[in-house]
Parts: sequence; C-alpha cells; structure tokens
Amino acid sequence: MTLLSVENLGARHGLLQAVREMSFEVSEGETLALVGANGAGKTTLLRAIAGAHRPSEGRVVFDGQDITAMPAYNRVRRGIALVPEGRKLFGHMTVEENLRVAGAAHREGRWTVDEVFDTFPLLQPLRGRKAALLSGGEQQATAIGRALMTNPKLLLLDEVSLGLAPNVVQTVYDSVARLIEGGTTIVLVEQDLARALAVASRVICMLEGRLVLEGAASSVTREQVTEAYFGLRGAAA
Amino acid sequence: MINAIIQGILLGGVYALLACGLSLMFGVMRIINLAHGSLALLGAYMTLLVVEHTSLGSYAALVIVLPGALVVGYVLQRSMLERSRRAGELVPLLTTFGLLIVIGNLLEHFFSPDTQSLPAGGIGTSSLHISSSISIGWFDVLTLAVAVAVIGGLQLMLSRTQFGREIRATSYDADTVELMGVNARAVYARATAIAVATAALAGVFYAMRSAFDPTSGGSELIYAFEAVVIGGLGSLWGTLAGGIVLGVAQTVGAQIDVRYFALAGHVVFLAVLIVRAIALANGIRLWGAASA
Amino acid sequence: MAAEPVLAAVGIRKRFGALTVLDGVDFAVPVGGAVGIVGPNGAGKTTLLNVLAGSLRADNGRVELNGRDVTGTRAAKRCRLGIGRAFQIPRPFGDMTVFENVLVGSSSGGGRRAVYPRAIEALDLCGLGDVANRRAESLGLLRRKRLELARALATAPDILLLDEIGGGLTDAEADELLETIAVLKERGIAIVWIEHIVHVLVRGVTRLVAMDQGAIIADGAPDEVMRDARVIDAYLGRQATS
Repeated sequence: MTLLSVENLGARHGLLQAVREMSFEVSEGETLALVGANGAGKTTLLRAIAGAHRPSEGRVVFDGQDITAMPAYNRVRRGIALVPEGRKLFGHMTVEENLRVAGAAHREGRWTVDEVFDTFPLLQPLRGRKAALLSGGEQQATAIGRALMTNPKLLLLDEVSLGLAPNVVQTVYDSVARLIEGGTTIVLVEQDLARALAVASRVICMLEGRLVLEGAASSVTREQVTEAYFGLRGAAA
Repeated sequence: MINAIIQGILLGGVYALLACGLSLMFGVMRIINLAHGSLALLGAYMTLLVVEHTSLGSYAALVIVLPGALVVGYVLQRSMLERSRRAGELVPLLTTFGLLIVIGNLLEHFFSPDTQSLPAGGIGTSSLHISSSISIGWFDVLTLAVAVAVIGGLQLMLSRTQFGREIRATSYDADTVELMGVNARAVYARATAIAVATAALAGVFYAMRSAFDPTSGGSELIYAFEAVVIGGLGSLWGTLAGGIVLGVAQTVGAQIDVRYFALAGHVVFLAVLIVRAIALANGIRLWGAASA
Repeated sequence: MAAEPVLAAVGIRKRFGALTVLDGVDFAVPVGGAVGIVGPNGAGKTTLLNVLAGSLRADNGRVELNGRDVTGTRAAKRCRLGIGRAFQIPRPFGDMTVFENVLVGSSSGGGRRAVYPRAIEALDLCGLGDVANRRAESLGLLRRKRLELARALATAPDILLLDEIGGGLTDAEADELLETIAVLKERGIAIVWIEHIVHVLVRGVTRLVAMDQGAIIADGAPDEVMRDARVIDAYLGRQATS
C-alpha cells in the first residue's frame, strides 16, 4: 500500500532550484535510502515532505491525502516525523523535556518517554541533562527519540550519521534496524552508500535536484550509483 | 532610610507586575511591545466601566476584565503582531507604537480627560506601623504579593507544564518545534494573551494606588522597560529583581532629594546597561537569561 | 625547467579547536593553469580556498603568489596583488547597477585611468554588456554568477578562485558559464575551482585535486581522479566487504 507519493515536486532556495520534477512513491513498511552529492537537494526534499519547506510546484500525497498545502505541525499529527539534519535539539531543555515537547501531537501509539528510554538505554541516566551538553551520539539518539514520540507512520531521517564516530554510527543504525523490523516506514538520507544499501530496501540517487537513479537496494551496483552520483559516464570504482 | 528601602521594595512589586508581561513577550517572541503601558491603562479603564455599571468592586471586576484581556492579547497577536514579527526586527516596534497612539486616542475620545481612580477597598488605606518612621501600606504589600504570585506562577507554568515546554521550545527554535507537531503561531498568540492579561492586572493595581487619565502610562512604561533590562531580558525572576532594584534606587534617591526620584532610577539603569555592554563585548555572561 | 607557479601553498596546517581541518597540504597552480578541487563535505576544500585568498590565516605553512610570500598578507591586499575570488551564492550590491558593481572591483585593480576601461572590458568579456545599466538585483542566477566573475575579473587578477559557482544551473546555463570561464582562461588567468557538481567541473579544468579529511588524496587528470577508488570511497564510504 502506497503511504507516500511525491509527484513532480519542485522546490527553490532563493534563486536556486534545489529540487526539480521529483516523483517517487514509498510503500508502507518500506525503507527508502536517498543518496547524492552535497547540494543535490536531499535535505530540501525531506523538508518539503515534512512541511518545513514550501514547494514551488508538484504535490505530496500522504496516506491518501494531498498534504501539499498542509503546515508542518499538522503533518506531524497525520503521522510524518522528521529527524532534521544537525539534530536541532532544544539545547536549553533537558533530554526528557525535548521528548515531552514532541508529545503534543497526541497520536495513538506505543511510543512514550519510557519506551524511548528502553530503546535507547544510553539516555536513561541523561534524562535531566541539558541537550546542549550531550555528546554527538547521545544527541542523535535524543533526536530520533523525539521524533518517535509523535508515533509516526513515516519517519524521515536526515544524515543521522553526520559527525559521529563509526562505533556510534553502528549503535544508531542498530536502533534504526529495530525500527524497521517493527514495521516503521522510513526514508533516510545517508552519505555512506554501504550503510544505506545494507539497511534499505530501495535506493534513489539525486543529482542537482533531479532523480537520476532508482532501484532495489539488492540489485543496484556501486558502479551505477557512482555514475549517477557524479553525473559522469563510465566512472567506476 | 530603612523606610525608604522598604517602600522601594514594595514599589518594585508594582513595576515587576507591569514589566513581567513585557519580559514574557520579548523572551518568547523578541517583540518589544511599546503599547504595553497603554494596554495596562486600557485594563484600568475597562475595570472602571465594570465597576461603574455593575455592583462589582475593583477586585471582583477582574473576573470579567482578565479573560477579556486574554482574548484581546490573542487576537492582537494573530491579527497584527504575528505579521509584524515576521516582517522584521524593527516592524513590531512601529506597529506597537502605532497601537500605543491608537489606544491613547480612543481612550481620550471615549473617556473624560479628568483623572479617575479605582476604589481599592478597605485595604487601600490601612497600613502597618512598625515604628515611628516605618509604615507599610497593606495595599502595597498586596501588590508585591500579587507580583510574586504572578511571576512565580508564570515561571512554574514555563518549567512544569506542557504548554510551558512548548513556549520554551518555540522561543528557542520555532521552525523545529513545528516539526514536532507544535503550532508555533498558536503558542505565540497564547503567550501574548498572557502578557496582555498581566498588563491589565498591573493597570488595575496602578489605578487603585494612584489617579489616572487617558494620557497616563508613559513614565510607568519606561520604568517597566528599565526593570526588564536591569534584571536581564527574558528572565522573569530577573524582572522581579530588576523592579525591586529600580524601586529601591528611586526611593533612596528621593530621600536624598525629592527631585532625584526618577533620576536615581535612570542612573542605576544606565550603569547596568554599561556593565552589560562591557561584559557582552568581552564575552562575559552576566545574570539573566541566555542573551546578555 | 618548470616556470614558477602563480600560486603555491606549502605545508598548510589549520585547526579549529580540536579538529584538524587541513593537515599539511601542498598545492601549486602553474601560470594559466585550471585546477579543480573536489571532495566530500568537511574535506577542507573551502578552508584551503580561504587560506589561499587570505580570509583565513593558516597555523603553519606558506602561501606564495608569483613567488612572493603573502602568508601574512590580508585578503584585500592579496586581491590587489592578483588573487580574485567569486563566491558560491552571488551577492551583488543589489541597489547598484551591474556596471557599478564591476566598477567596485576594477577600482582595486590599480591605475586610476584604467578603472573605467577595465570595468567595461570585464563586462564585455562576461557577456553582460547589454544589462550594464540594470540594477544588479534584477538579474537571474546565471547572470549573477557572470557578474561575480566580471567583478573578480575587473580586479585584474593573475589567478581566480571559484567557490562552488556551478550550482543551480540548467545544462544550457552551465554551458554558458563554462564559455565565460574559457574566455577568462584565454586571457591567461589561472583558475582554482572548488565544485560539487563534478560533471560541470571536469569540462572546465585540466587537472583535478581530490581532498578528504584535510589532505590531498589524488591529483591528476580529471577522468583518472574520478575513477580512483580512494576518491569514490571518500564520497560514498568504503565498499562493504560482502
């Protein structure tokens, strides 16, 4: 069943066209990986789906409803949650307060503050710590937990491995894997191709705002992605 | 002198009550509401209307006036201030200045230019005589108590309730808070509603302690600003402390010479500004909220 | 016998707090050369450019312009000495006309009499002659990028540093931009070009330098560098061993 449908989406950044004619679908329970060079439009695309960025043309259809004109906070109430690039935690508030703020969405579901601490046990002793004082990995766990508090149907992850040490990235992706097992639909932006292909069922590559490659994670080759990533013919590893 | 200090502290309560709404609006939305004093005056005049046309006393009238002030604040934010806020840092200054003038003119039009005052009830004139030189008015104590209660209540609301968390998160990062399901504009509107209600409350207490007319409120607004800055922008307890520091400075200054009342306050205000400016330039953090 | 490079950086080290952003970088551009710099985010490309331009001071190392040590020279003076720079997001002086914008550049190029002619020439070379009297903020993206180039050109540089100017253009617009850059190269101006849009970059440079984590990991012909496994690993992460 199609959960998300992006149709001919375009988005601008000032004078720059950051996303052009993007069209793709995400089925319920799927994990879609979004790869591409810096400035390819991946973050802008996720933000447009979450409602944080107004598209210049096209539509976003979620769970059968056209949400293109819907403000972000209403999209959260429908079931879309974004873990933004750079985490964007409320630094002067504690971990627990960061989680509780997101509880405003009042959606039915299993996620509560205690559930989040069970899933991310490293956060338990940090409940009362101000978010700005956390390490990178702890902030990332808090940011994901915060999004989960809204009990999303669709979880958007924007570069959750950014700036984290490899072992910490592994921990983060272990929890992402558990979320996938639990049936959450996920769209994730990830620079590390191996990781993206390991966790996703489908992959999309963007170049200068356009979709240039789409395929099953199991069948897409590194060479194909490399070629699409740089826009160069015959670029092979 | 001790009496002067005590009177200064009590006076600080009045200033803090007026200033806390100002502090809230700036802390949450970075809006400097130049019409804050006018809204307080409006609250006083609305209470006057209720008192004159019903059998309610000043305090009881608050039951009608305060909810009305909440509505006024909410509508004000959603209709006018929200657009001003998004238009730029200086636009709210212009808009609220315009509001100040409009409210003043409306009051002059609909009410007589004669001074009025609100009945303060029995408590208005009674006082506690501690010694021959020290006398504490019960009404002033009540005002200070109300100020402390309001500020304490607001602080509690901010730190313990879901609504308070939403306000704090929205003031930190309004874009991200929307991604968490919170309607930032509604949060702003509720914050303004509360700010205007506290202004109305302050206006009523002002009106009970002294006479007022449609042109009142100017110097009180300035004192409110001074209290907010002395205590640190964005900190409610700081606003209380700032109000008290200002009140004490004024009354002690008046002890030296009656004409020095306002001047003493301004001098202290200027001194605090200079200290803050130097600290800011050198990266030293002072008291108050995150921003120096 | 190699001629002296127009711009050379030797042993550049730069730290921001505990993070080493440039780790002993040696980089030289021959007179009239066209070098592209690629690499993933955080590789240190922009930091290197800032050190070359003089807006950032390295912790260690030397920068030499035409053989002259400019390590301690500030950006504005380096500009007068011959380093020009075009920025990623064109920010012209919006209220001023296109011509006036370029005039700002040519005024620093030296020689009072040459200021106007140089500005006019820069406009012509960059194809902006027909919009010279328009307000800068009325220009579209491609023309704004050209204005950036014209402004930098008017400072009579020996070398031009281009900071990710390839973004946001259609294929046709990218062609036009490359043509403008070719005109500059014909005048003997050397070029250093940082870029994420690799397929545009490789058409405008003859040599490619790839950076990752503060160091240069590849240096050579563009198509060879883009096939280098280390370069691809830097962007995409290491190949998973199955």
